[in-house]
Amino acid sequence: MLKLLKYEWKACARVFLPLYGVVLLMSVINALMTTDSAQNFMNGIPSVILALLFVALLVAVFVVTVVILIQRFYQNLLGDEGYLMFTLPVTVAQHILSKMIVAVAVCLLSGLVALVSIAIIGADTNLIFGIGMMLNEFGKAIAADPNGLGYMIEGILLLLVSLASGVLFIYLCMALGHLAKKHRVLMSVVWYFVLSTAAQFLFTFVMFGTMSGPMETLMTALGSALNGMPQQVLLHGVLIGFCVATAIPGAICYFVTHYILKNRLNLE
Amino acid sequence: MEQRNELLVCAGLTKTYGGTKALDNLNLTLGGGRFVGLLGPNGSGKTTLIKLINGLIQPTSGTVQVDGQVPGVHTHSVISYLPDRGYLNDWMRVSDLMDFFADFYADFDRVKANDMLQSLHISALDRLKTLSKGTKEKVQLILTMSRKAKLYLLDEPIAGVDPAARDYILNTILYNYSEDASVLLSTHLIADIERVLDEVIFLKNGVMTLHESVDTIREEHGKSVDMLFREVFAC
Repeated sequence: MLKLLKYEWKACARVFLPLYGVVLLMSVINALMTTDSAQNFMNGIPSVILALLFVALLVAVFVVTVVILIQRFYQNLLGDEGYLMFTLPVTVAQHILSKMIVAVAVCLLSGLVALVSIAIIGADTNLIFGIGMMLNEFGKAIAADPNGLGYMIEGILLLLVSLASGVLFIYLCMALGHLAKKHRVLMSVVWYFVLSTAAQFLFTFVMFGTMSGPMETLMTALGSALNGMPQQVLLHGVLIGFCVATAIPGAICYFVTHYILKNRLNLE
Repeated sequence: MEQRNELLVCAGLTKTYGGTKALDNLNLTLGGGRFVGLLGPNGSGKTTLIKLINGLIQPTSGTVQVDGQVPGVHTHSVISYLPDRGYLNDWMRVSDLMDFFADFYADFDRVKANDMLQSLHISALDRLKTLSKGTKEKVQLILTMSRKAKLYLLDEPIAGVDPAARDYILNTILYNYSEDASVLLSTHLIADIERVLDEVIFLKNGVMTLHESVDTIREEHGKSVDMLFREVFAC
């Protein structure tokens, strides 16, 4: 498992580390361009071009993240490289999980790099001071109310679980597309739209269900029961509830993908 | 109870693609220590059989067992497989690949692999992107044969390389598999490999028409495998 993670990380880092490097470099250059003399140089044309380039790069980071996530699964497992990967003495679960973990890590890193690069451009003494103040206040708040730390951990957990579920959903679409005899890429896209529409429909249905009919009285009863609870407990409950609610569809995606790759694998 | 010498057992193995039967009710048992030629014209089901044994495709019906188990983690660890296509990604170096094999296969012999690379004048530092198609195939073959597996499945290992390298590669295959291991090698270039074969399997339109030892063929039919093949598969 660790070995799979190592090679998966290598394969992704090869693309992402240079890209992250360029993004951060561009943000530093843009930050230097914010001085007045640079702004006025050649009517400010270079600084505008650089700013546009930076925005384009940020979009590129987002696009490349999604593309690599898809490509690593499709090429490495369902393409010709699958001949090597699926004859390794490792389980299907290890394949899916190692890909998922690295994909989630790359998503987080991409987001982090985007934030940091924007912060670099906006950076001046006030901002750095401001961040310092914020962290300080944050520390104080956590020290004052231990619930704060709990919220934070739950929030991070929610972020991780939703990323993982999203990644597994995309894997599931590719695995389902793989079941088709022909046009497997097209079928993956079709499955994506079918399943995401179905999920939205289901979500809306549940939402309406809770706001009308017998469910409504149940919800009102639940609401009044919860009313008596302290706010902190309620917030914890909501955060953990969201985590579970996101994890369930993710787990379903995982098990179906696992079943397909284990029992229905048909490499061309 | 299955016997100790049954390395590969296929029972009623059938695979259909759409309406066509690529492999039809194949029953086959292979023991250890045999060099077996899987012979048949294009589209006769050779690759289909090898992919089924590897678990890369699933049988429509019937079963396949290697070393007493259905394809899975254990069978992957005892089979060394050379596919009919390139499965290597472009960005790795040859040495990266050796790390990869050494990491995943406990039976991978790096010293042996290095020796073979040297005799074929392939640098371990070359990136796969810069190698020619034939050289890539040689690299894959070297990696496959540097494992000490129980069953070697070689799908068309000599079709893509020049005749001069063919002999070297055949000898490589011949001298690098251990005594109790078996080799199942598919090809339609029979004359080139006839001298090394113990047994042959003839596949015709997904049906096994013959499975005999080479000696029996010579005695009973009084002709070489190549001649028999040309007779059986005459157009």
